[in-house]
Amino acid sequence: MKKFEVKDLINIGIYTALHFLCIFLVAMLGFIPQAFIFAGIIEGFLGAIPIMIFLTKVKKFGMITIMGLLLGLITLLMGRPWPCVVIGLAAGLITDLIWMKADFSKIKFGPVCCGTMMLWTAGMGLPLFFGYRDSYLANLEEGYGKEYVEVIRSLTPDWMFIGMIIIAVVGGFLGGLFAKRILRKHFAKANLVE
Amino acid sequence: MRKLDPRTKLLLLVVINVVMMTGKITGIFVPVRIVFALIPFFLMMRETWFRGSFIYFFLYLYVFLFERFTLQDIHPVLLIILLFTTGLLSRFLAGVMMAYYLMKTTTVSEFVTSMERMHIPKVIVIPFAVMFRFFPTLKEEWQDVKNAMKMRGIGLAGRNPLDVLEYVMVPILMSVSKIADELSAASMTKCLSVDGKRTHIAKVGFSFLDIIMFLCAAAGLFAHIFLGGVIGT
Amino acid sequence: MITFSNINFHYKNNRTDKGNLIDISLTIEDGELIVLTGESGCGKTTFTRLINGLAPNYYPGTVTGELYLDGENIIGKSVAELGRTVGSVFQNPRSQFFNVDTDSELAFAAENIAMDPSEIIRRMDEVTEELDLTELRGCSIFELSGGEKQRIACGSVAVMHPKVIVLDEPSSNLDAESIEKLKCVLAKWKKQGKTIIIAEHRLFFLRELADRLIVMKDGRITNVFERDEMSELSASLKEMGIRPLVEPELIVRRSVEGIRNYIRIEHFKYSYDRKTVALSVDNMSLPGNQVVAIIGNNGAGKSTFLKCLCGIYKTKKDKITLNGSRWKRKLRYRDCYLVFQDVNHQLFTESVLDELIIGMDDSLSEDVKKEKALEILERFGIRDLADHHPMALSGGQKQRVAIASSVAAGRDIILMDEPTSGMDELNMMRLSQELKRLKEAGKTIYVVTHDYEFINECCDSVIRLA
Repeated sequence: MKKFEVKDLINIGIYTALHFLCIFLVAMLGFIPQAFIFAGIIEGFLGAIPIMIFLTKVKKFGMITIMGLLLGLITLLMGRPWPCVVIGLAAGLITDLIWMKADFSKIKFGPVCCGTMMLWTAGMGLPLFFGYRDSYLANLEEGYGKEYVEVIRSLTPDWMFIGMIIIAVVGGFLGGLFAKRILRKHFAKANLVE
Repeated sequence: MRKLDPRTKLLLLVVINVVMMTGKITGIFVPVRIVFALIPFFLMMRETWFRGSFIYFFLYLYVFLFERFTLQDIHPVLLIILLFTTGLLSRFLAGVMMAYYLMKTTTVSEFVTSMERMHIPKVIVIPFAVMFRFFPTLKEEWQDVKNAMKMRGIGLAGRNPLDVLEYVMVPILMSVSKIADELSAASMTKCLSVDGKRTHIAKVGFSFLDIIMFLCAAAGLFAHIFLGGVIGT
Repeated sequence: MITFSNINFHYKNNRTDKGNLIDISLTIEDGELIVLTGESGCGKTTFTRLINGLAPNYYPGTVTGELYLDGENIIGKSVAELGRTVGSVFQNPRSQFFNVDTDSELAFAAENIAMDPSEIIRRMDEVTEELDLTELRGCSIFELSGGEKQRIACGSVAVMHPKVIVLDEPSSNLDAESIEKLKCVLAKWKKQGKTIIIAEHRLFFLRELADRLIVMKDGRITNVFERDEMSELSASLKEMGIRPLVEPELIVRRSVEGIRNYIRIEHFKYSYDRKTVALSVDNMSLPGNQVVAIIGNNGAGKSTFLKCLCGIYKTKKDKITLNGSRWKRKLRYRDCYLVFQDVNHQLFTESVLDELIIGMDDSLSEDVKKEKALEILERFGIRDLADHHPMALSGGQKQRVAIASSVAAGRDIILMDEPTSGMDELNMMRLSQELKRLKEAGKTIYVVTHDYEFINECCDSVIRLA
């Protein structure tokens, strides 16, 4: 394993910030229950763009894993249950492995990586599901009324957790395709990437 | 005035978010929520950011009261729309304010110092610190791009959203990638390295206020976990 | 002592020869202040990068020859290691700070080499005193002006007590007052016996300090001028494409051309926050169909003035008329075009041609647009760049594209913010010619600048903002 340089760490920080900001801005939309499926797609789409540029800077195994870990930690800071850190780390690791398989350069793997990277957002949705879900909804009901909770409940059976992940991953993949185009159209043409 | 230790601020941020986002909004959690909503207010007042504190205070007051008293007998659709705004605010606002306070009052070097005190390795500390530093830079970049769009007369309306996205993202990404390069170069000439030992001039440490805040956070977490915040009653 | 002995440097992944170095041999004595100059892309920045180790460690490339710093070959030494003896100041104040506050930045490098905290604090105080940084201590980086940032950058270098300091175009984003302050810093360093190497375009502020002036072209050293030779250089420098060593006097012409009282401004006020007023103009009139220079001291609000005039910033209760009729903010958007100091943010399409087409009147057909765009590019002498990506161009070319796109969008009033900062003589002259041509085509140009050479070259009148 090659050693990290200062440049690598700074790139991780900068692109994590940009990626997170993209996701965070869209995630605000996710509070409208009917919109949250769209939000998932848009989140992935927008978030994928910085990831794609980041990938072109990644030449060492571990960089994406660190990004995943950082994203997991931010999710924790946002008050999500601790498994979100593990999810973030796992998302990073999976993406890292795929990108390593792609020799850190085969750009056609880019969109897939953008997709798998989005797995970390599962940590964000954690409170909606599993053991957390019922108590969360019961909670909401007291304050928000049955109507609102029913809408959420109908949208979020436990299998929807998988659905939500798939949505985010698909969003990420589509965003990755778009970002690949930007990369070719702008960055490659301006000699900013190889 | 002694500054709060960055670790305390981080803990408070986590606990505020846990209580506000995933916690109950009734029963004994009414006072718990009030306390945690007041913490950022108190901290901001302490920094004499009066304007910001009062805006926050009244906004939160409105949201808080709304959540409790006007929920009966309105049309569900209307309710959902209203709940969207108030729900969003009541959940996010305190945490966002706390995050803002954290960013605004913590220097990168204090942040790095306290993370290294916790024996977090540099490969995580440096990216985290850079991230921390980079949010305000991104704001500047976004403003520049926004001004440029205005200048060019390229509005958001009536265009393919993907094109607009491209127009916005491309200059930002180009600029970000340039900043990343230059920042790396500058940091390297300032002897930043991945494995070298560092010293710190930032003074971080726990004071009386830190202890109080710690107790608050611990009490909040306790209530959240053992008094039915998570495990439904 | 620094000795370059037959140094060649070729950047990896570089299609052109830009910035490469060819057969450089030079000895720099301790305590010398060396100024490197030459056209953009001549290799002067690369020269500084070899000394601080960024080339080839960070900017990869192949290097042959030897570079000795106090008798030791430093090629291949790590940047961080060299950072203990070589301090570096860069061009862009926005991207050279790791920290968000000035105190931490001053201490940063010293912390990184694990210097004792009490010693760091002692040195910080010493540097604060020396470089007059007292009012900048404890500030957020984001509140500082470009000049103030550059002074902090110098301070953070000084804390390390480096023997050698390299500066890469440190003045390119600075105004006159900040340049003067930078000069003071350099003078102090020189007095302390530090070896200083500066790559610069603007030379006037270095004339009294420079021990040697080194002119580079296409990667080679073409001329070396000693201190006493420099005074007789003015004429020949211009031929070499180098900016003058003496800041020219402002020539005030009484222009009769153009339209008098084209724009009248009353009650023009703007403030960024609720406390400080960034701009306050009570009564003013601007001529039209001229190239007008707007000068003024630091903090007079020159850039703010431009941003308010073109409508990016919203001024309240302003009363502005254009040719006698009310000129509201919405109209100003339509009529003006501001070319930013950093044009990078203004270019966002995939080719120069698209850049022009996108701002054109939507009612035209695609073919007409394209034809018109090519015609404009022809006029600006950049038609052969039509298919290039704007970001692949040089700074001067990017600026030309930005101006061309304002012409394409049919704007009559072109505003420019410090267009010649960081520009070499050649590009500066070219820009002057273009502005004069635009004026002849009936445009009005307002330029915020403090570049007197440029003003004398092309401006018809000068307005001082107080």
